[in-house]
Amino acid sequence: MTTQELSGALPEATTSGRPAWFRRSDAWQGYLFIAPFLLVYCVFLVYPLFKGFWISLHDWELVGTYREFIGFLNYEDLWYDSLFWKSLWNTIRFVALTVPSMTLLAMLLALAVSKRTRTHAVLRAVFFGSSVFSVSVVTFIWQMMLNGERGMLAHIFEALGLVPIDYLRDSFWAMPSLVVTTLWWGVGLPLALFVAALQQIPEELYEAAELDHASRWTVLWRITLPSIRRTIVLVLVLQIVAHFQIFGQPLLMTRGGPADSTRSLVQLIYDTGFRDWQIGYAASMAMVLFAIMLVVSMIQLFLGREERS
Amino acid sequence: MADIRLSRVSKRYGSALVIEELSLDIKSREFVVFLGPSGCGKSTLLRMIAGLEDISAGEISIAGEVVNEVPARHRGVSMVFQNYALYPHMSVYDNISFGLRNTGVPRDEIRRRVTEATRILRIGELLDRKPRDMSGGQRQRVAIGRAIVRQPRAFLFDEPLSNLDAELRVQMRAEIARLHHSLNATMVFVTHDQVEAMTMADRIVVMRSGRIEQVGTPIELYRHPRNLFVAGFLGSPKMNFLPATVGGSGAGSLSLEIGAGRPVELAVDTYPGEIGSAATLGLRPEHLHLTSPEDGVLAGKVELVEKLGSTTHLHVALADDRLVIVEVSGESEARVDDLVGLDFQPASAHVFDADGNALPRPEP
Amino acid sequence: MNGFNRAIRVQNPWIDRLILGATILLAILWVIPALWIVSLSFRPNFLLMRSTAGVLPIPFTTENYELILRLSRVPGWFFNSAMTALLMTTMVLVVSSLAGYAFARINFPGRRILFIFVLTGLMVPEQAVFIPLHTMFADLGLHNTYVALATPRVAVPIGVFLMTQFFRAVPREIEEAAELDNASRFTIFWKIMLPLAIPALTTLGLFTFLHAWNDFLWPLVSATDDDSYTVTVGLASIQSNYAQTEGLGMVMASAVLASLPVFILYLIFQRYIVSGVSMGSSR
Repeated sequence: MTTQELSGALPEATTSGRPAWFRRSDAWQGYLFIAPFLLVYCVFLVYPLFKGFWISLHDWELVGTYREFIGFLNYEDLWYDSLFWKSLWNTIRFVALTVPSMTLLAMLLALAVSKRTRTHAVLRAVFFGSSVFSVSVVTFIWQMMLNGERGMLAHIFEALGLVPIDYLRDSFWAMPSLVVTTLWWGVGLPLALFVAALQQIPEELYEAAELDHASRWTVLWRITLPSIRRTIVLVLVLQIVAHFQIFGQPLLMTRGGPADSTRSLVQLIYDTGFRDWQIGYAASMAMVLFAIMLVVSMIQLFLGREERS
Repeated sequence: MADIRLSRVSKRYGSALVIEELSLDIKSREFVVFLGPSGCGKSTLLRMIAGLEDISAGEISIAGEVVNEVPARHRGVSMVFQNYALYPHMSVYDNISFGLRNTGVPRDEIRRRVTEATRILRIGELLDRKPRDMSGGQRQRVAIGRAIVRQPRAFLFDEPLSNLDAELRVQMRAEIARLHHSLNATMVFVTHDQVEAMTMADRIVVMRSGRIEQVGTPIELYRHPRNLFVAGFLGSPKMNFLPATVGGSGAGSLSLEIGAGRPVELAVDTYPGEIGSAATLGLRPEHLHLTSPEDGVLAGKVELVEKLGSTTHLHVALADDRLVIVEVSGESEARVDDLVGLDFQPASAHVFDADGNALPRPEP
Repeated sequence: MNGFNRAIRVQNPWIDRLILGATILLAILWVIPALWIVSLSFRPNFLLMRSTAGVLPIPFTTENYELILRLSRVPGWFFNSAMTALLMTTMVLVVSSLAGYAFARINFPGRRILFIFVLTGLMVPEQAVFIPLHTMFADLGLHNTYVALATPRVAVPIGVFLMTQFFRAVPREIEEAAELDNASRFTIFWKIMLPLAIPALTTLGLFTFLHAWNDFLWPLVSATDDDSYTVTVGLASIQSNYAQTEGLGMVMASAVLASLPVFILYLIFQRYIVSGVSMGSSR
């Protein structure tokens, strides 16, 4: 959303001709109505954001009162911290694996199930249903599925006479396992967005194409996909932002292993802050994460504005 | 019932002047129609009377009391909106009684007024229904009912019939006219439809671009439009306008050269200007009649014949390709491509000077 | 209706059927993981310890559930989740509808700037603020309380945004008619705007409840007492131990129970939840 959109999302400008008497009371009434939210907002979002930055400038321990101002030293340390870079790299790898596959899967599914029929509605309900579970339930389910001894896949392998793989402990398969879990868990949202976008394409476009004897492929490439271009971009950006924050899956399924190959950035932040009690250092990592995501959001705003012109 | 007085009222949106120094007196119990094209400011003016819009300059008084600073709810007016503006989640009874409940009117009094209003409007059986279960006409009546029960000093209608289909519109027109008669109330009605204005109004206020063009009874405006705009706005089909130049003038009379025909001699009170200056001749379709091409003041060829049953409209192209519409009672024998002549009673013609203002003419 | 399939229907019905068949197959595969866990939860614990092979819950038993409900902390966690979710949802609905109406319909000075100020908060991820929030609550000694669990997320402006969009769409004339009907601003809000907003509030409420129930990071750091866990965090704490040879069946049953409320809500209110999630993301 561009800033124009942001403020365009707001109703018309002040001179909409309200009678003077109403306008005088408009002011305090308006403030009264937004006061509860603004209070919560400032106390629990705005202030912590600044405080977070403040904390990142300190050597600060979680428990106890040890606090020492060290300026940007934490950030300097980050720069030389190989575990930080590894975690960042793991996260980027995860995003690079998950986002394209998730988007593609969601789109294919959407193309297959966006008719307004009963069957399709049931199918949509199935694919979306897996998104309502919490991360601990999903990770538990897939730990069971992928476990080397007790997993369903393991049983199938054994039945076929093959040696089962302990996916979550395998240095090659650990990351893809997290990706598959996330795909199963998360395809619901982009699917819903794509289905909504597809259902909004006017019938007339397809009817004209039919009259023009267009093949299925042509319709897909020339009509369907271009019509949902904006949704595709939206989904991509949302996915990137969301999966950058991945936490539960590596924490609960692989514990960041094997050998830190799946440790995500947020997991590192959590470990640093709440296991090692170094919340100053953890806060600096959190700020870096925030900066990255801000950049991604900005790109989306920018892209949105480009599109409009 | 109250009279409404507008005194040099102006309205500004930012830097745009939407209504300019407008003055108007609406008498108590009168049915006044604000008529004009979209954007002329008629709705804005109505909303300023209601108190839903600021007044940038000037004064509005209701029953002698200046109401500029008075909030809408205390002005004692009711408004019927174009989109009915009914509360969707409330029943008809609750919709109509909402205002009374807010003012602390006792319950049995509310019931009495609501019953009476719905009886007059013949929607008594709908009291428990929700707006979405009703037709457009029914919703409009509920909106009117809501306006009635508040026993206002004046009723304001903002294009209430625009969303109804043609047949319903005719019906509701009659109902509102009847309502005016039975309630004997001051009513201000905004519309862009000149038929509505002509049929319902005691007086019509014709507006354009934030100014009043002319105020008068329907017949006054029809017979003696003050300028080209009013002349062209009222009457369907529109008045025919023929550009002319002043050919000569004498005592109390004027000769006009019309490009497409013979000079026309008319009796006028004032002269539009010297010989050669521009003028416009206005002829209503029903004042033109067919004659032979040689006898007529104008001559031309029939391009189109529209048969409406009770009348026939003939589109006649004059020599200079100007199209003129002639209204003939009953059926006509004219056919497409016939060459015809047109004639008219000089007294029924309208003359407008170069600025578009009508020249006063003696009564026939 | 997806014309992609319809328009070419006449040309090649077999491709359509193929796609449908493949999708149905995928849907069946899709539910298998969850169904398997449900099935296993009805098998006796000691058998599960030996082997989890097989799909059907044979032999069938409800002992895992009985144990959970009687002896474990799971019911307590369940209650914590419920309280937190209800508290959060209520707060969100109240503050969002009030603020949303003001932004949409009240012309107060600074409205535009404040709105942008509020919207930019959408770009702040929870990881940027959970550490300072933790210290704030720690200083006040408020961890392990429902207030601590529920309040921080109320600050996320998505609710305000949704309600603003909704109230914007209510025709102005209805409010004007109410003004002429001598209704005060609060009367308009309470008697007209809110009743009209029930669908939007339902969507927002379900969406918030879902989020509260499934919330993980914040409850993980804020509710550190075993007894204060929400069911999501609690399940995470016991599943880490599943590798050990006890209670596999109980963990299964816990997982099923933990998902049950949300899943039931989903089945009933599917439409609202899907639309709420899509609306929330496409902003």
